[in-house]
Amino acid sequence: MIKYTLRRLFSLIPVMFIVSIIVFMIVHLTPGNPATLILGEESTKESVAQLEKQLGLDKPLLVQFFYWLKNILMGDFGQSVYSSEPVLRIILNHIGPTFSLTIFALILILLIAIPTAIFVVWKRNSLLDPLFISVTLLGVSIPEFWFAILLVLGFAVTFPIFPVAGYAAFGDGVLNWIYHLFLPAFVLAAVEIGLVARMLRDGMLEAVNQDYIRTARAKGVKESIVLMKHVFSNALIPTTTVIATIVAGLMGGTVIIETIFTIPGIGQLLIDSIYRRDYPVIQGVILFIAAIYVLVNLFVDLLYTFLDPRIRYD
Amino acid sequence: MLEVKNLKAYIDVDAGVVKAVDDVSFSIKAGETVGIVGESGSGKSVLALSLMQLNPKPPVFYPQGEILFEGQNLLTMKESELRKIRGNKISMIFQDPMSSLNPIFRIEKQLIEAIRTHQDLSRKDAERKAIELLTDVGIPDPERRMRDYPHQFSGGMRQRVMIAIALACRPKLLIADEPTTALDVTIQAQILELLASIQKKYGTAIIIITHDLGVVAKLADRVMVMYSGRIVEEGSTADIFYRTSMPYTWSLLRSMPNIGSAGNERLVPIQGQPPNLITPPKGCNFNPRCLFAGPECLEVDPVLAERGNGHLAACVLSQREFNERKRQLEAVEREGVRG
Amino acid sequence: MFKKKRNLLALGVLLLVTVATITASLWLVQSPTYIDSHQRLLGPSAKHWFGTDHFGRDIFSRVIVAARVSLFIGVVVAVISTIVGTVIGLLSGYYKKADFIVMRIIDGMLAFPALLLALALVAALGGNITNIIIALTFAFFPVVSRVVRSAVLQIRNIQYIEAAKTTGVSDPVILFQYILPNVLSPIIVQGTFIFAKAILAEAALSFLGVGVNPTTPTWGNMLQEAQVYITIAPWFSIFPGVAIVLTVLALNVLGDGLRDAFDPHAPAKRKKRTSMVSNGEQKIA
Repeated sequence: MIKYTLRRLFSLIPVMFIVSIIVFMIVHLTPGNPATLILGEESTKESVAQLEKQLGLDKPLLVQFFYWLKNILMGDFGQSVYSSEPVLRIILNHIGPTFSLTIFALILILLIAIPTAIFVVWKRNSLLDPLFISVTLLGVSIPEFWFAILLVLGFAVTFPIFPVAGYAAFGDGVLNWIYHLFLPAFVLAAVEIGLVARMLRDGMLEAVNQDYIRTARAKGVKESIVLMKHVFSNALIPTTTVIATIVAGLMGGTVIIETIFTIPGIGQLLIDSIYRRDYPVIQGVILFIAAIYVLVNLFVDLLYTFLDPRIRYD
Repeated sequence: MLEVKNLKAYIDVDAGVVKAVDDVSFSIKAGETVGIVGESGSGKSVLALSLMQLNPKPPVFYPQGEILFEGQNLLTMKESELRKIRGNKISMIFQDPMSSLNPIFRIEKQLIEAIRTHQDLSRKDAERKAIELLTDVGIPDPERRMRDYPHQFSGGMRQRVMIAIALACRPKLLIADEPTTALDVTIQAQILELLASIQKKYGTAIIIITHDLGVVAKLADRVMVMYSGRIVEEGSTADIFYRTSMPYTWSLLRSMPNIGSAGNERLVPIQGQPPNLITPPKGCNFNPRCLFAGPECLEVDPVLAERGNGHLAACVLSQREFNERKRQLEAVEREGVRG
Repeated sequence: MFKKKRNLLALGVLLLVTVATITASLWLVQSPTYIDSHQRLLGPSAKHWFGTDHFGRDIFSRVIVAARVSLFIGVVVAVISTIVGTVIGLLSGYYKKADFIVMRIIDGMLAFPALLLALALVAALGGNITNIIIALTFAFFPVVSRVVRSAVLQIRNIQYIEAAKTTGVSDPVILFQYILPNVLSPIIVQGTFIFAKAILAEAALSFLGVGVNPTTPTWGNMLQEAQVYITIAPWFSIFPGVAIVLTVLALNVLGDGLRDAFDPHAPAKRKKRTSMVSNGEQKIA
């Protein structure tokens, strides 16, 4: 177990190295001189030269890369060309809302997907199952932003219960926080709920015909308990790996949702920075998200091995 | 104690209806050990699961019959009533001890679940009972081993745990479905001895389902031979082995090592495949593979008939005709070997 | 049989959308580009089935024409990423030496949520159809190569391939004539799902304003324009969205159907042949 953890930790090094190459390349993929792009066409030669120097663009690419990588390893993500603030501070200022939104959505997903999957498996021989499959397929076919727009329409005009824009920090009161986050979190969760419920249902249907489930029934255990205790916990282990997929979906989704619901998180920061051609911030945000995603993956992998006694005790 | 009357258990599949159990009747007395023998595909496992009402419905359905346990018909019983019998009065152990225990729960939890589902015991008492059970089935150091997970046990030990679970409520009837098939030969003998000792100690009736006549010979008082969803011969163990009355049982005996009258005889596998149970052959189900089959067998579907002393067989041949033909066949074969 | 109908319906929807958008110029009554400032933001009517937009253009015609760009991007991304992903997956699964390095790179690419990687690439390259196709291909092919690689690893050591190797069949022949046909089914399934995802991603990028040039009608661009008018002209947002949902749903249903058809262990099929019947009975059933 410890050996496995160490090995997994080591495997992060090459992955993060590749990630940083990709992030670094983002600036250099841009056609033309990045400095001119940032400053605009009508900028003076001097200001372009100065920015080039500030960004280190006058050196060979490889040198630039290692210089950049060294700075990042020392916690220096560079400066925003828009506000001149350090990138890391900007990101940390925006992380709160995104974190809240993602956690809220994750809770909603689990709260809805788990009981749904159990219920569908319980009624597995009825028409509920094909209906469920159709609904989940519909779920992954709806563009998040469009669903968000429709909800905004519904809640702004028809049922003005929840606010359709703005954000309240957790510190401003839990109810206020929930009040502002409910709609965006729900939209964010909606797509993933179907995916998770479907995965759980597949896993449970796989488990429901296993010999040990028959043993549980042969003991005289109630079917509802068989499903919730034996089937569900066995299906849960492979499903933990989906958490990583969900988190990826959520992080992609926050970009859109934060823009629509005007939540000042890193998603909105990313879009704003793209409009401003603020490349250091774009790079910082992307690198940050990739790092979090890689860590979530690691966590899920370790969780998986921890949950399964067959692996834990080997 | 248990009486099965004209039971049919069919399976609804895409290609049609599989007649897995087709008009089967028998009874089990308290404390008796009965073997049900047949090839794979003979319907014996579906029959076993029927007795617990554990066949998934759908696809399995019961178009006809009664399963009377202590006078109550399990087929018409409510699910909640059935649960009170399962694991309590009737228990079951399965073929593959590797997959029959939940891999993510400790043995302790699985045993205590079996105990507390039917007995109103405190956790402490249930734990004590679990240790007793594990000691009973011969698991050394049960206090410690209880905290282990199934994959930390060997196959034989897992089957012992399964037996402990099955015995948790002192059942009147224990159904053992191929309990030794997945185990090493040496372990097989130990498990069979364990079953025999339980039988002696608690007077539990045991139905042992197997394709292995050797298992039956060691354990059973009475044997039923199943072929294509039906019982084709039934009698005391001695009847089946020494007064065989129909061709299928005879073929089965010849295909197994170390059984039958002569130890030095060659093993003769049964030709062909078990019949398709969706569209069974016309006449006797065994006729395509039967070395004794005559024109009559393509027409007549024989039913179980008395051969004396509770010995039943389903064959158009009388005992005398059967013995005569058997002698001829064996003589011809001996010639063949020599020539 | 419920499933069969569903798959046929999905196929029908896709054919209808494709044919409608290709032949649009032959039968559309209203021009998708005709601006009529007196007819702005009108609700659905007999003349304008889906209403009109903020320039007074016919939304129905625009939805039909927009399908061309959206479907084009979807198809091209699906085809290129499956081809690129397949080739990389085949090579990586077959040549152990290449495998390590290639898979680390793929791992690195998979460390980005797909939409974010596409977003970053489009931001760098600039938003036009070619760049969107490039960006989405980069976002989607790594998954394909993963799937193909694991499929190759599973069959690489099967006897007939070993046999082919010992009789001196060349590597390219083994790869493309022996292995590829055997891993084709997951590739097709992945391709269908990528088609669906690419349509959604293009719409999202355009909606965020970093996608296809705003003057080109695509479903995403239409929704981007419509957003401001959501409360006074909801139809402007609803119809392009429904077009996306229908098309993507059809693709997802088809992908799901294909996966079930290809996968002998699909849960839906398993339901009837449950494992309670011992191995022997299963053979008969």
